[in-house]
Amino acid sequence: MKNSNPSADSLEEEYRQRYEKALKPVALALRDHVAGCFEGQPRIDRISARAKDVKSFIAKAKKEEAGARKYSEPLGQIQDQIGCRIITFVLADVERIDALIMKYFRAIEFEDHIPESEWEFGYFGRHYVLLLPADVVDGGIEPSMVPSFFELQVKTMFQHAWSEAEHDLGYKPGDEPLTSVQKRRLAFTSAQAWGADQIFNELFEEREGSVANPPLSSSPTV
Amino acid sequence: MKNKTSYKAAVYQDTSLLGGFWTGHAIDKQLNGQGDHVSDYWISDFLLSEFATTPAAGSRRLGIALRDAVSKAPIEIKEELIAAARLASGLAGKPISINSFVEQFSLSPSASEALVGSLRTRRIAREQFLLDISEFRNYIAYTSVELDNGALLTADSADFEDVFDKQYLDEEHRIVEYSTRGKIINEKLKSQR
Repeated sequence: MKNSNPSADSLEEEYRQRYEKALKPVALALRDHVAGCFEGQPRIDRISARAKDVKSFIAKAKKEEAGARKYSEPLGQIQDQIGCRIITFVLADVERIDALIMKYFRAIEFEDHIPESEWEFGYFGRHYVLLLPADVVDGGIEPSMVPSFFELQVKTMFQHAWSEAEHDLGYKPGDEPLTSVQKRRLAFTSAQAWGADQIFNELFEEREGSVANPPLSSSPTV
Repeated sequence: MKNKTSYKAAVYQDTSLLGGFWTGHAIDKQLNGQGDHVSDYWISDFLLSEFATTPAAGSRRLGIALRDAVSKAPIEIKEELIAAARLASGLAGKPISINSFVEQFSLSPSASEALVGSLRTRRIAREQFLLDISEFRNYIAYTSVELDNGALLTADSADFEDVFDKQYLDEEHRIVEYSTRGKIINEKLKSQR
């Protein structure tokens, strides 16, 4: 069995090899594969996939919890070495897409990311850990370099926009931590994005309902 | 093991004992069928496992591989592959792999090569899945036959042979006569074939 708990330097080198030779081509193929599975589906803004870059992987591998390394076997345990994202228009689409994900992929884990308290606003999004389909691994790629799973995120456009902007503001290495007021302002923008999603979803469902059941008084357009 | 020619075996593996999602390989030598068939009950009820490929994903894979192979293959191979595709409904709901599909319909080496060669990687031809026939048909919904006199005949793949009656007039030169009977319900002008 391969040693999956190497020292920091060898871990970085091993991941770099994996990133270049396996993860990048697999991520490209995965994007096309997922897009093929969702071909013809309405209200999908975009589908993207990426291989986790070396710097981000090493930073995550070094994370600690209660004074100890969170990942004892980072190459086997970090689940977003390959990440895919589906951006939808409205919240109702997230449930529709869920059924298709379960149809075409084997789910390992599933989590709706929402702030713990109803009085908080922050990151919202649905995350899956799915078995990586063998269709996306070319014959020339060494199988041991390819993780068994990938992370799939499904978000609305407002959730996506907020998480991208927030990530850019709050997670740059070496930056000063956000102040309390800055955090509160970020929470405010999250609340606005949440509200926009709610309203758009309500409008969408009302309009869908009105198309399915037009009011009796409506007259034809001339 | 009581009998070296009649047994079931499975091995599960992963690079990580703690964080891995273990996948495995199973062999079933107690089935009468040939090739890679594995008892569904043994996988799901005894091993408490499921095929790594969902029915829809595997059926999509097979449908696309057949469609791609048919689009590129010589005419004799096309006919062989299309005939197998039409017969696939008999395998609905059953565990198959692309390799076992080849064996089931006794595809020629050339047709087998055309089919397996159209996959991104040949190793997925061994992966088993339950055939979802409606998903499969999404990718091979229509069969079209084009004749050298300009005729283009199209029908649902599943019904093509019932809709069109084919008579060989000169088998060596592949001269045929097609006939059909029905009520005209629509006519179309199209910009492309």
